[in-house]
Amino acid sequence: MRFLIITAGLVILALSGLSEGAGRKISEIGNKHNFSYSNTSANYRAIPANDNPSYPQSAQICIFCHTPHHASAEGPLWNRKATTKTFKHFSSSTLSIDDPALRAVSEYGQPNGSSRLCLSCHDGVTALGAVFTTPFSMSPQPIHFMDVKGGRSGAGVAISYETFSSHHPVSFRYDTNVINILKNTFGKDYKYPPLPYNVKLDRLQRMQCTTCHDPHQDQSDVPSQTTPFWAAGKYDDVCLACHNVYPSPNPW
Amino acid sequence: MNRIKILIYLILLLSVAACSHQRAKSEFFSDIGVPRVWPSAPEQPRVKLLKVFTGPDEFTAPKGAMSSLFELVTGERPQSVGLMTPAGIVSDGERFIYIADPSARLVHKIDFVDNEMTYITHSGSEPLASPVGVALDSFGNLYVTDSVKAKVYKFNKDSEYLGALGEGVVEFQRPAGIAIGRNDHKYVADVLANKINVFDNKDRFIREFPNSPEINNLNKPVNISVDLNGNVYVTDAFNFSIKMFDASGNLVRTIGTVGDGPGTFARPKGVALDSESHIYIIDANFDNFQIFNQTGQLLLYVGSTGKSPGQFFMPNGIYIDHEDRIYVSDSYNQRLQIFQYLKEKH
Repeated sequence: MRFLIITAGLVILALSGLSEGAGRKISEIGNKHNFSYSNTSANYRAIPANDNPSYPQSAQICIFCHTPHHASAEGPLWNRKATTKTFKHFSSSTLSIDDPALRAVSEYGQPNGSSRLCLSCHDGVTALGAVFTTPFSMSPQPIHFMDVKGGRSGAGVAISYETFSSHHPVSFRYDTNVINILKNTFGKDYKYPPLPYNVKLDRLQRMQCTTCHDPHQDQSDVPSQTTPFWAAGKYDDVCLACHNVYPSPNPW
Repeated sequence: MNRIKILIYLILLLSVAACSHQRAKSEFFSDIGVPRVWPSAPEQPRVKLLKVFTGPDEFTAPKGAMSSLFELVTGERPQSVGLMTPAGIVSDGERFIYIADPSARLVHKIDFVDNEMTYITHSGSEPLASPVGVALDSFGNLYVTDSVKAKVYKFNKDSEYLGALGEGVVEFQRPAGIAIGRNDHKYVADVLANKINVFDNKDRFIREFPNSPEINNLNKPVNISVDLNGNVYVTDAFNFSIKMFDASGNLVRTIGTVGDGPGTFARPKGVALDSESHIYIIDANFDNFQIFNQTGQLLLYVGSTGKSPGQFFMPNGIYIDHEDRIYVSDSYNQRLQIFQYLKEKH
């Protein structure tokens, strides 16, 4: 018994040592992605289940991103022959992400894999703070409309309006082939992120939101609103895992 | 010189309007090559795909009157913006479709009679930050929710800015879904405040609901729709369900729960009603919309993951017009898809 307690204590010590300098764990109060009712400091949290039996359990913290298996007992009345038991979705790395048919529809240009989980909440409505746009460009692209509506300018007046994409692209394959093409064709110096490391690709070697962000626990030494749930202690550590340029005034 | 410009503009506009109104409208809704219906034979078809609209490029030939005029007067070619992440959507069913696009930070205005796209980018002198919801009143005035500015802006039919809804009376936290009833009452879902604000036909704030928030909690209401009887349907995102309230704001029914199969929700988004009060709900994770009857039974689901016509990639907004045309903003396919609900007598 004593041995067990000591062992457990050591394990806890070891685990807490691992997360030194990092933010709260997903299961802890104060982690913004902990949506349980008890996380009283958070804007986003569940309603206690005892208020209404149809509400998700207040302590279930996974279901908000990782949808559990569940379907209604009856099939659709207008399509009795429908055989679908579950909709294909992307809530877990153990799902059919390796399926070739799925790959055919998840090429770069659209978010795929785990990034869908992030962007289906971070859509400017349920949650702010994520923008997925193509093509990627660091500088605003001025667009000359023939008429800016809603403004004070009259009809037919051309005024410049700037639109831009300010987010790093996600959901693209990043393997040695891609790195070589970037080098040989575009003269850009990239590298494969060192392994094992916080900055990691998914199982299909694709960059995803989770390459730079750890949605379960902020790993940054100093928490920052501009780099929430950051995957490494220092801001540059994440960028420089792939961008092989340092130091430089305009590395990318 | 200005008068001449206006005169040319008027002549062009009138001539286009006179000769092509009906033709252009029917062409816009009926150019899909492959007919697709749900459910497939031998079941009775209930929903048909009408149109996949990918953006302003579809309008480049023939060029619309406004565009020609612009080139004539300024010597410059006007530029257009494609759909980036289309969200809230509304249509008058006659001429205009409005699509809020938070990534592009503007509202796309599709004129499917004159084959023209224009853009609402400002409220007065202020640029929009994150337009996510749109609704039309019976006069054709447009209401736009901005989730970052935390405002609801009003524009007239010509997209001129008229003012902010509830200014000085209601302090919105994050207005998102917006719907306008037959009596021109406006319903605004405030995601962070977890409540619905109601305004009358003169834009005066009249009340908020749920009436008993301690029992009928809303948790991140993101979208909203209202039926002909004034019943209100709210997408309750963090409760993975749709809540139906009567016209007085009392909870009538809850539809759906968290899950991954037919009849459940993972990321419920837009909600809309057809002329027979069937309830349509988008799910961004399932890449479909599911249709329920008034008692909450699942009738049909339409769509799957992909890029083909009738498939979706994280769809978001939905709107159904008075002719039962179903407009879906197919966000990450960066397009609009339009379906037709087929009534029994069709």
